Amino acid sequence: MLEIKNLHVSINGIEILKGINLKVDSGETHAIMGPNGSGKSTLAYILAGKPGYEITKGSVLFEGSDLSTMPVEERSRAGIFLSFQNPIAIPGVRMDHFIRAGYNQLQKAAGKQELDVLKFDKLIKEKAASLEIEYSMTKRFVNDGFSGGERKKNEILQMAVLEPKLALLDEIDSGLDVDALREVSTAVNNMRSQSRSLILVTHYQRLLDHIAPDYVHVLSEGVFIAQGDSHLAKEVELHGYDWLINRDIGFSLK
Amino acid sequence: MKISTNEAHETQYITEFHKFPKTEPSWLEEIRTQAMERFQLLGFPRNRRGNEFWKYTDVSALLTKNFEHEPANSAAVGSIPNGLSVINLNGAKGHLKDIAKLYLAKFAPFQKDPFISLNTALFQDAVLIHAAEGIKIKNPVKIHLHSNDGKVTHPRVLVIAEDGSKIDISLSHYGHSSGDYFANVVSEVIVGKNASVSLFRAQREKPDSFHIANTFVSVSENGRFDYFSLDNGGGVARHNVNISLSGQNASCNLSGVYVTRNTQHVDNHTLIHHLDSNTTSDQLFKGILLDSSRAVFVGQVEVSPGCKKVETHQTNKTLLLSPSAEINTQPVLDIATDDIQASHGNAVGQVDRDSIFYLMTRGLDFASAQKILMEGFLLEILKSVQNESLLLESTESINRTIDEL
Ligand SMILES: Nc1ncnc2c1ncn2[C@@H]1O[C@H](COP(=O)(O)OP(=O)(O)OP(=O)(O)O)[C@@H](O)[C@H]1O
Ligand SMILES: [Mg+2]
Repeated sequence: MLEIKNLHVSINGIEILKGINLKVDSGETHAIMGPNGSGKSTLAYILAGKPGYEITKGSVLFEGSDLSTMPVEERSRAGIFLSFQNPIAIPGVRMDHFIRAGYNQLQKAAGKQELDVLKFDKLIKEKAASLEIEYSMTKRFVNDGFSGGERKKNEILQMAVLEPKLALLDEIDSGLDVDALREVSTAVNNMRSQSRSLILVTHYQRLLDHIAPDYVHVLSEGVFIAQGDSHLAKEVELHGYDWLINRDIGFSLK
Repeated sequence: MKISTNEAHETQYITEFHKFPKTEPSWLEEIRTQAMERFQLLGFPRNRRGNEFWKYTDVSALLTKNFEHEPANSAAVGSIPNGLSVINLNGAKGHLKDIAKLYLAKFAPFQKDPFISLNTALFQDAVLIHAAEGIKIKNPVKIHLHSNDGKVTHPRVLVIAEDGSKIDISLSHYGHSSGDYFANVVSEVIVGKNASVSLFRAQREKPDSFHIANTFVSVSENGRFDYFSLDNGGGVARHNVNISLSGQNASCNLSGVYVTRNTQHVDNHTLIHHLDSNTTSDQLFKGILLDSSRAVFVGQVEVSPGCKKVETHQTNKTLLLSPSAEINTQPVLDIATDDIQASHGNAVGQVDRDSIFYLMTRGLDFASAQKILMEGFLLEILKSVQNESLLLESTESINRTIDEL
């Protein structure tokens, strides 16, 4: 589904990612961990197509097509979804309003039926209920006055509506209380399927206790310094990143 | 006294004045005569230099036009409930006649402004809206004012909301043909004690037209005036809103939206007089400028000496979508008291890049993302609209404006 080869990415001429290799197949869940500033969000952004991020070397293929030249909205229509680490507030723009516009674009691209306001309202109501999100929140301006946790839930609601093939969840657990973490994890788990892949960026094992990853990668200063299965995350939790960085040989993925 | 270098131009209006049938009550005839004399003396503003009031807006092109006089084309839409009168001033009878005499031309000072004097001298078919004491009108009164190619009209509106009454009014200005024309509008609004008036004004004149509007409002004790304006048209459009908060606890809330393109020029001047204690004024004006269009917002606030517990806030925000578009914005505060809470701010910028990116990651293309954000940006001004029908109308109006971009 996703194939990243020797990816180098710069922002304003500063190299942030320095040779990333990653292969994600359909139905797989990958976790990416790593110290602050190691480049985790940068990787998520480059996949989503954020302007200002430049690929200087390497390649990214999504379902065989080159992502580097694909406009942001096309990536979304092709099935890539980014849940932001810090979802912004957009006063004046109602959540249900813009997400219907996005949903219909995705439907159109897939040759499927677009939904009118009433039908979409029904859809988002169901999705909100399944996530235990107040329906009234969908009528409010995007994240305007929302708490950190509410913003994260809102991202997951959008994911539930858009049903992506590849979801990049950047620190979906940060700012969530225990109950919210469980709710969000359950929601994400319910969305796992043979045809949907997840990349979870996180600092904490506790998210991975809820959403068990197939693979774990540790990023440090723009390169993966260790790759393994869920045990790797537990090692990180126990020993910290320094232990990994100072080690000679990394875990290797098979 | 010689004021203008081109008096010949004003002559056409003077000639028109002398053609008027002499069938009006003498008090009105007297006012008109005075107004015409004032107009002759003042003439149209010719220079922007040294003329603070017309510093940013050039109306000298008016001097090159010979528009033909036409009575105002006004139409009231909808049903009129008991306690409310919406009539042509000529048809005023009984107490309405006295009311007209009492209030007409008392608030819009024809002595000072050539456009007001011209309108006062020449208006025909004025609209009189009167809400009787204590009457609360649920449905907004909708007035359409339209212009025709090559014509000059002087629409005049007089609104009187007696004590304790409540009324919502929507005024739509638009053109029927695409040529040039001149609409010279004057409105006077009297808000009685404990009364509430909201006025929604939509200006959608044709791109080659001149639209000059003067709105003068007097708000008595505990009265409230809400104003929403949309400028989405006109070649040169100028609107002066002048509000006197003349009794304790009088308040006003002014919101405006302007969306301009091509070479359009839209100028909003507000002037709020806080004449008594515990008076409050709030202003929020927002605009989107495209191409090489220009907009002006000057928000002036005057607080009389001795007023206590006065509150005044104003904000002006503009999105410039083109490097050749230009906004002139300026608060002018003249405050003769210490007992005041005041704030003002203005911001000029572009559509937020991060918000665009956020929306695009949800499948929207750049243009749609930008439109949704512009809509959201403008809709903020409607947050205090309470009348549902007016909210719907104004929301649709803003949506339509953005859709047409
Ligand atoms: N616009 C920018 N200009 C310059 N440097 C940037 C810019 N954006 C990010 N960086 C740098 O890139 C590096 C990687 O940032 P990134 O946000 O990807 O880290 P992260 O691994 O997600 O960190 P965290 O765990 O704190 O979220 C950091 O050193 C950051 O300062
Ligand atoms: Mg990050």
